[in-house]
Amino acid sequence: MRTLLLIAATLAAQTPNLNPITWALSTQPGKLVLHAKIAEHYKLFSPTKSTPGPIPLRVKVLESRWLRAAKPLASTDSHTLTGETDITIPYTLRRKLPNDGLTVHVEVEYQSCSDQICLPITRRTLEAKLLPANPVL
Amino acid sequence: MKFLLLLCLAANLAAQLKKPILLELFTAEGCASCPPADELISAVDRLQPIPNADLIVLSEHVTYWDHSSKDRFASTTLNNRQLGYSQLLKLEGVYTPQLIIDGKYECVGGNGPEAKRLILEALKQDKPLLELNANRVNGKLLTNVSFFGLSGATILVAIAEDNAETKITKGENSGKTLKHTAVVRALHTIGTAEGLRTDRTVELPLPPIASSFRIVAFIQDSKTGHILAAAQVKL
Repeated sequence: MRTLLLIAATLAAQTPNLNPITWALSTQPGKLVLHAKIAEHYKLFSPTKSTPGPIPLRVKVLESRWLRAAKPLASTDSHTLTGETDITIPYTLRRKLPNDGLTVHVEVEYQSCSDQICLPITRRTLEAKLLPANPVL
Repeated sequence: MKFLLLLCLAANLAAQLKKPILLELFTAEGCASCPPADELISAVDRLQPIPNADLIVLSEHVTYWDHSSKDRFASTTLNNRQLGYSQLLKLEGVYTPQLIIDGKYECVGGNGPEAKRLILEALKQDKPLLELNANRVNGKLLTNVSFFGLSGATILVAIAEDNAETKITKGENSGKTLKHTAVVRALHTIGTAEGLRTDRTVELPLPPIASSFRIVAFIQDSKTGHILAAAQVKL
C-alpha cells in the first residue's frame, strides 16, 4: 500500500499543473475584487506592468452598460504575481441598479509560467452579485 | 576498401538493430521555458545517449506564443497535433515545452531524467522495420516507405530543417539566438497501411529550407496515437 502511495505521489509530481490559477470574484463598495490563488512555482503576468512577452492579465467587465470600470490594480508593483493576490477593479455606476441586484461578469485572460513550462492564453469568466446597497453612485 | 565496406555494413546493421523512438518536442520561440528543451533535444539527436535506441527527434513549433514573438516555424497544424495528443493522453490542456515519446508518453520538454525513464519504457515495445528512401528530384522530394503489417495505421512523413537559427528580437527570449534541430516544416499524411506489406512512393513539395534537412517517416495508430514504426534519412 505504501509503495502504491509512493508511486502515485511520484506520478503526480511528474504531471505538470495545467490549471495553476484559481480565481474568485467578490464585490466591495465601489470596486470588484479578483482574488487569484497561484500555485507554487507558477507566476501570473501582472495587469499593471507591460512585459515584453506573455500577455499581461487582461480584465473585462462585461456589464459595461451598467458599470464604468477603471484600470485594474494589482496588490504588488511587479511584472509577475505569485502566491495569493488581489486585483482590484474600481468602478462607478452608469445607472441605478435593479432592486434585486445585478450579476456582474468579469472576463479574465492571462498567461502563466512555472520555472519549467509556459501555458497558452487562458480565459475564464467569473461572476458576482452586486446588490443595490453596495454601489457608490 | 573491403574493410571499409564491412564497416559500413556493420554500421548499417547496428543502426537497424537499434529500436527507433520518436521524440516530438512541442516548443515555441516566444516561450521563455523552451530554450533549455530545444538544447536538450539537440543534444539527444547529436549524442544518441541511450544504447539500443535510435532516437529520432522532431521540433514542432506551435503558434500560441506568436503574440509575443512571431515564430516563423510555427503552424496551426502542429497546434492541432499537440491538442490531439492532449486528448489522447487525457491531459487538462497543452503547454510548452512538451515532449511526446512515441505518441504514448509525455513529460516536460526540459526534464532529461524523466524523458530517459520514458524512453526506456518505450523501448520495451517491439517495432517492425520501416524502410525509408528519399531523394530530391526536380525540386521535389521523392519518398518511398515500405514495411510489413500494421494494417489500418496512418503513414506520415515530416520534412524537418536542421541547423535552423533565429535571432529573437521580441518577447521574453529577446536578445537570444535560438538554434533548432529537426524543425518540422511540413507534415504529410500519405496514406494508410494495407494488407501484409505496404510499399508507398509519393512526390512531396519541398518547402523553402535554407540549410540541410531530414525526412522522418512514421506509422501512427490513428486511435491511440502510438508510434508503431519510424525511420529517418538526412539529406
